[in-house]
Amino acid sequence: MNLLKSFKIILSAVLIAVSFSGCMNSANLNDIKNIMMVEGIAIDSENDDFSVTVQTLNTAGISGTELPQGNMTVNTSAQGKSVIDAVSSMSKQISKNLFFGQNKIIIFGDKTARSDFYKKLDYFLRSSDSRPDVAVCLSDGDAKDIIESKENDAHIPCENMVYLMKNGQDAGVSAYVFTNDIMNMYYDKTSDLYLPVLKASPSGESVQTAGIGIFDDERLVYVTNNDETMGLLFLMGKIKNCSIEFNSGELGMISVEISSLNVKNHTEIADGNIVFVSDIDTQLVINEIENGVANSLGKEELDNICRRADNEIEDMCRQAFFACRENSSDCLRVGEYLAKDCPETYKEINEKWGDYFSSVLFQVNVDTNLKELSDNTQLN
Amino acid sequence: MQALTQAQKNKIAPISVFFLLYISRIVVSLTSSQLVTAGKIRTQILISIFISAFVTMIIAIPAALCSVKHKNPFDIKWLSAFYSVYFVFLAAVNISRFSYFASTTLNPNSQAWIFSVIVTVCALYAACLGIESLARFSAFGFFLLVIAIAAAIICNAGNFDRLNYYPLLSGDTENIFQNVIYMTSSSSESVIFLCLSKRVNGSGVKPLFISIAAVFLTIFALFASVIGVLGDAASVNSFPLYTLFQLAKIGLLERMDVFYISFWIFGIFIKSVLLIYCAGSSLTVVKKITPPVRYSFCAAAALCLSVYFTEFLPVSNVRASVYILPYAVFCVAVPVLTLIFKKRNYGDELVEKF
Repeated sequence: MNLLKSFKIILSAVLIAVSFSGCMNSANLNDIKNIMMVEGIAIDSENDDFSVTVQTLNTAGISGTELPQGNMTVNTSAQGKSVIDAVSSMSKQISKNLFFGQNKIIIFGDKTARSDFYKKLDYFLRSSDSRPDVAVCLSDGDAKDIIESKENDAHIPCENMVYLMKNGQDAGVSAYVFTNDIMNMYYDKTSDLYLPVLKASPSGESVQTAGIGIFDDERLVYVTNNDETMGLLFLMGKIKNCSIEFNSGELGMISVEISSLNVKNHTEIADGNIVFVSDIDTQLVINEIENGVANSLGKEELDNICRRADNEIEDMCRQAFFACRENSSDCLRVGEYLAKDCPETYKEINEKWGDYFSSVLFQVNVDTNLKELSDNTQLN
Repeated sequence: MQALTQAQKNKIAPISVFFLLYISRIVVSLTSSQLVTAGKIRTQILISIFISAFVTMIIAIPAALCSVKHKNPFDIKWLSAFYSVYFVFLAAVNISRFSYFASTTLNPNSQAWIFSVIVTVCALYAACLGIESLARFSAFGFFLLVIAIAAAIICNAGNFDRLNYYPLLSGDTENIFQNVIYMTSSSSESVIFLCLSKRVNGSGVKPLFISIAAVFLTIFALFASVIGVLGDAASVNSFPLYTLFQLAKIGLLERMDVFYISFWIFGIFIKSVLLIYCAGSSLTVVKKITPPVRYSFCAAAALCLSVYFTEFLPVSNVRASVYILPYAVFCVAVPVLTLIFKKRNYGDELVEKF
């Protein structure tokens, strides 16, 4: 074997060996020591004063191979005249570099979202190490209260909040929106933004979902209630599995589970009006009946339950649509549906879409099919 | 596999030509940024890709005929030297784009020239190993690239929204034609094919056209995904394809941008080697110089030019338009004129027959 070949083999072996290294036991490495891994950011503002709170990993507590117990994060706050100013002054305080590559969530305070929202978000959209899949949400009060929530002593509270929104969207109680969605909606000519709202419990131990905040252009204008939130998510086709309850006369309160959502939205022109039409197909499982047993119900009663479920969903969808329309917020992307279905009309009116959106009519057709009576009873 | 092992000494199989040309062109699209597209990245760019595929095929016909009729412009030594300069220029542009991406997006604390040096040195070493080694490696690179692209598209299915395609034709329609010009002028594979044609063990014409069709199909699929997933956000991303890979996730598998980065590095490496190899082997006007010295000279020139692009030229100045004039001369005018005016090279024909 000649010398050059031996050298190549050794070099290859070294390169492969180097690539096997990890950082599990390297908490004292300079790189990790000198950076603060941001897990979440909360931004509050009052007039021109900004307050930024970051949740970072407490790397000192995670050396070794054992997973630490309880919360392993630290919250740090700083103030400034802008988001950039506040982040810079934070870097001065902590003498470490903030690393946003691991950031999972950006929380904006209620007041912050009420005006010039995109200006405040811009820093995170442009930051070189910010990712396009960072969740964004609002707080119903100060964002700081949310990020400082212990989330029942979770390892990383901010991570829990992301799961809360993700699962909340599947269940029809919250939304999961990330930075790329925001940019998409912002740069679209007709669409408006929507963001989930979180609320801290009085004890500060946990956070819970509190509706969806809808925007008109660059400001938060309205936060939806429970029915509107679910209606909005039905219309967007985001729900995977949710429960609804309604009163069905003789049978009393009935609880049903809705799944297999199939939503087809379109716009049409009828009598000179733009109509937003939503056709929703779902499957239904009867969970509980207050006055009766599901297995003993006849076809007529079962059909009646389906009809009642249809009405409930239609009602929620109507509430959601009218909440958006009254607040001039096209977060349902009706303008884009118009561009798809009636391109000529869209071309004519897209510049003044805000004026036209307030007169858009709404039609919803829900068709629920009974899938099961209970978990153990399959329908034929 | 049989096709890959058919190569003779210093010759490559036709399928390797396909791999090399495919990688060479797809790398340009993977590097796609706002600098190489006109207007917003919206649905009309898909029309541009479609038209560009046809235009590129038509432009490749003279090059294919040059090869078939043994009227290769690389047989004219002084012209071949100019082609060498063109290849050096292409190598520099590609290396500088990667260095720009690496120094701004991957590691903002690093210097672009460091990446240029690393890529060029590796490319020079590989070019010295010859075309056969490169051809073998290109098969590996091709499959990895295709897998990565397919994974990114499939894993973004959950983020896909067909509403993002509307309105179908927004903005100026002149952007469609501007993008056709940009995309076509980024497809210099027809001259790479001409340079390699004497080293192909068989006819390389079929792989040339199949590679053009396959690569534009891939670009179409990639951009269709970018628009369907990113929507209007695609137009404000510096590297929209990178963002597409960042968003890709399926089950527990996420953060797939690492695939993009690693396979793009593979692609950039193969393309740089190919261009330095072509530049070096086109430099036949200087006699009595061994190939490694020629490759070293070309690599050094490409490195200097790429460092100039990244360090001294404002990024906004290195637009797609820098491609257009050299492309028009070397990929369109010269092959057409060669086809019309050059005499057949009967020597090549005899070699081919026996």
